[in-house]
Amino acid sequence: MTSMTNIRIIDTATRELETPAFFPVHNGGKGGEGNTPRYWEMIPDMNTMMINAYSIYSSPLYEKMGEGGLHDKYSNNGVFFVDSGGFQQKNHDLTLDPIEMLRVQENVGADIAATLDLPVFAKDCIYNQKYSDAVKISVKNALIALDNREREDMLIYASLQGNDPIMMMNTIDYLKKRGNFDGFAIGGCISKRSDYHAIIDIIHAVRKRIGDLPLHVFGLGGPTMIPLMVYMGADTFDSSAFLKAGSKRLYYMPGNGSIEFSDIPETTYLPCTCPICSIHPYEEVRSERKLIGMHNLWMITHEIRKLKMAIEENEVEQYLEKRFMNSPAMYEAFRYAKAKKRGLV
Amino acid sequence: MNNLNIVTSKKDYTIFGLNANPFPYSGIPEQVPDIYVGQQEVMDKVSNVLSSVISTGQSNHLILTGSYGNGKSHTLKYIQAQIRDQFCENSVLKPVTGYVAQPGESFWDIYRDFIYDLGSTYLRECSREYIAKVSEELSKNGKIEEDIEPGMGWRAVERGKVLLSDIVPQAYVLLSELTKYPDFSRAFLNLAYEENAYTSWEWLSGEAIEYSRRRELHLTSNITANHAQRAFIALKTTLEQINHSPVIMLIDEFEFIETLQARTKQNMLNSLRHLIDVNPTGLSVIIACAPEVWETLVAEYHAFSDRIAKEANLKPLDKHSVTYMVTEYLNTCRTAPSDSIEPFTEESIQRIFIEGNGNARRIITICGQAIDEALLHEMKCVDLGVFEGIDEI
Repeated sequence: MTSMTNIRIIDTATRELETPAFFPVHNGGKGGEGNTPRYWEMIPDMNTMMINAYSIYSSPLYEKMGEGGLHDKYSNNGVFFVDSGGFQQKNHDLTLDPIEMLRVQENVGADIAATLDLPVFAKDCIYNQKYSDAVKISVKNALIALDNREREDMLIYASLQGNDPIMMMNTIDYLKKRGNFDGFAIGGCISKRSDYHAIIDIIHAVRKRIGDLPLHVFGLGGPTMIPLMVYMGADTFDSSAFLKAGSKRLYYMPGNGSIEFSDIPETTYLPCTCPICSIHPYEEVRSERKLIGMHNLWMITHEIRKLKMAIEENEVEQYLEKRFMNSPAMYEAFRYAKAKKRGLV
Repeated sequence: MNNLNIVTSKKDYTIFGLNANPFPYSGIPEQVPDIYVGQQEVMDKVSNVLSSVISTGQSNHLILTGSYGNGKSHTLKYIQAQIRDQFCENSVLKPVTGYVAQPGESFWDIYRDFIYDLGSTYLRECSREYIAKVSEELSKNGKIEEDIEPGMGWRAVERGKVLLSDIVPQAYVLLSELTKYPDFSRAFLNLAYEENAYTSWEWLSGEAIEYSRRRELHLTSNITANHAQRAFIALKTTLEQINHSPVIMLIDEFEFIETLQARTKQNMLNSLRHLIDVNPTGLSVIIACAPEVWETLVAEYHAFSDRIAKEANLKPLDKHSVTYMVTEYLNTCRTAPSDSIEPFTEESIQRIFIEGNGNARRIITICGQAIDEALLHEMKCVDLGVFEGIDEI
């Protein structure tokens, strides 16, 4: 039987990646700098990056990058997950070529590439033809990518779209019948990020269907969501929320949600011992969004560490029980997740 | 102090050549009755009505009257069992029978009982059959790339040969055009899947589901008393698409409507009249009712009673039928079937016939008590002596 909560090793072209693993979203920007702090130089556990193929392709970065690709540009030992640009496709009403995006992913030296999808939103339903067409395009693109891959060492994850477990499961069956994907990635979760039951249902269904293959969840990666997703069987996840939260001066509190920095009374000691909060004074952290972003990333790192310890000790449920005790909504979600895993709901 | 003395060991009926007491103590009908005796005339009438519906497709209805204990419920359940036996899984014709234990207060109650009797497993299979049928049609018409052999539609979906996103929107549109009830179509299609089946079933069976759960399946409103007729017609129309037709509705204890207030009773009868009127094809309603109540309905509500074309009356059992029935029950607990009435004697059967007054339920109850009494007194057969020990029969 496949255990849903595991530490797995994903064998990438660069190195072995131990899961659960978080891929901070790098926002690229002109010249590839953007406003993402160089976190990989400071957080040893976080030598991973999620970057977008379409963003790279549509910026001077692609030309500048040269043969060394992302590894030369950012980190030689980093594991790079290159998303396709499906979200941009939907938001900017573009039609991207799946093979062109695949080539970008290959050229920049992606370790993991997600196939070009066409995201669906939470309000879309299976009975809507437009929604169904989006799912079909995502499926077709996934198969095109697999047929046209030129780099065998780049892992290809099929991007799954759909608002319900049924659609996801059928899509997986369809794809598995036609190709050997290295993993699967669930898309469209951002729009239903506060609908914990829906997220739980989908991850649960997908994990059951894909067996031991790696499972990524796009766009979700807060310190409270991560443990729940890992519990349901997700291996990797990405998010830019840590940085966006920094821009809004939202500070992840150690072990318990987030707080607006302005709500923290001016103090000599910030309520955290991460390298950011240990070295920088209150005023400095408050005024610098990158510092809050980095602090937030440390909190995610800390969360994943604790989670890995719990997995190793086979005490994930006990850990989550304590972890969510002070958060009624998350605790309820955890109870639902527990019941789901036991086949009671 | 008096204590309960509950004996847990099983009684040994082998002395009578039986492995158990064949007669149910309470004389209630079996869920799937095997034995049916002495009502050939009734069976002929029921056969005529159902044959006409099944062969011509024209709706036809029947009232089944009979005094308490004469076997109305038993007859309805026997009809249901017989139809299920005769039109088994591989049959081309698949009549749908649902038993309604009591009419309740409105057609909503009838609808719910009917759906419950059909069961979630059956309806889920129907949902899968419908999706399979649409898959096969889309394949046949070249609307999808994949070739699907006839009869392999659901397997193609389950094994990922076809994409649900290719099938379901089409299935939904086609079904909604037919049913004119989009919510029903959504719930019915969702039944096919494990993840949504429970909520779909709850909705289809008329349970009130809160908005947040309905929203998951994009269901706008619950089936209420106002929607029950519409839901039933949508169900019938849907089932017809997969050749599950006609729909045979068996309503028991119709005399219950006499306990309703005049307005409620009128509404109920109007609902049934309306149901009959809007379903000129593919429907058979068989109603079991105490004769005195039916006579009142005929006199006072002829707009309703006129629509029931035929009446069959359950008569008390005659001596020959009683003997036959006792033998049939005994055979259910014998190692080898026999025509013998042993351990009963001719005299005891005669006594049972007289005491039972031809009432099947009462006769069964007496027989059950008589066998236990004979066993208790270590008698070798159930003769007249047994009846001395039964205080009240």
